[in-house]
Amino acid sequence: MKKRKHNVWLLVGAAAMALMLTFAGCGSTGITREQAITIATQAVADDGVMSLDGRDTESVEEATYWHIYFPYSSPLTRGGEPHVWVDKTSGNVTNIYYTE
Amino acid sequence: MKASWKSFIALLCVLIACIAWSPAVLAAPAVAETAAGPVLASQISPLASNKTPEQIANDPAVKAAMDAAWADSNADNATTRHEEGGWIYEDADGNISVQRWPAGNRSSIDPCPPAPPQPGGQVVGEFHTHPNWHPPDGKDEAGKEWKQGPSEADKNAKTPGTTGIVQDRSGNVTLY
Repeated sequence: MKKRKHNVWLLVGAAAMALMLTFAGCGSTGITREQAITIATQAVADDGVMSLDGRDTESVEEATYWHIYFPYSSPLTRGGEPHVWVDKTSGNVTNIYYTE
Repeated sequence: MKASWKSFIALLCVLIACIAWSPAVLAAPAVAETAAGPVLASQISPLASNKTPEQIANDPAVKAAMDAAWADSNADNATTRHEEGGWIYEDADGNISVQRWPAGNRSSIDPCPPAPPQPGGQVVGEFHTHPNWHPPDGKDEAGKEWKQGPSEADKNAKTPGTTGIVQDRSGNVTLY
């Protein structure tokens, strides 16, 4: 009897862990930071407004988007940078704007 | 006892390393590189100006230089528009003068090293143009969206304590 109860609790524990892993999986991003940077880099290159030479790459994870931007590496350069928003689920670029 | 000696020798080594390192660091001038060459931090340290940022921006010498810089920016030409700018100096008598920077590119500009400071005079500000943002929504002829400045890079690059000025194509002059 005790052994059966023990098995039941083992099953309940396993089911709980499976549920947690399932929900954790739902919350994770489809697009990784590295993928988002690749997508953003290509989007800026396709736009042809600014070169990415001499720039760093910065990324901010928001609720549903990756915000990728490319500030100048030189701290003395006065200048703008491309800002790209990449949807974390689809990988689509939803917005690009430039500062100057 | 042995452990104490080891500790003592280790501390002594650290002390010697610190003593050897500090003069080399303290003696080295802070140097930054620009496209036009090195800029000594001491050259762009701000003079304690009695003028407000608004007074500096409205000084006739600055306004004239900004008008010229705006004209040189070719803001209405989609292929040749570019940024222009310059340093703003104040001498010991409170007189303002301007030294223009080399022309920048479409959305950025690198300052030239400031001229050697005049006796009692120093850099008190800088200005540059933003020819890309189009009113009313910021989009240019190609539909690319621009945000009005100053950008974070503009703010970060400016020497603390000096006045930054940007002029955009809507005629706005923004101080930062």
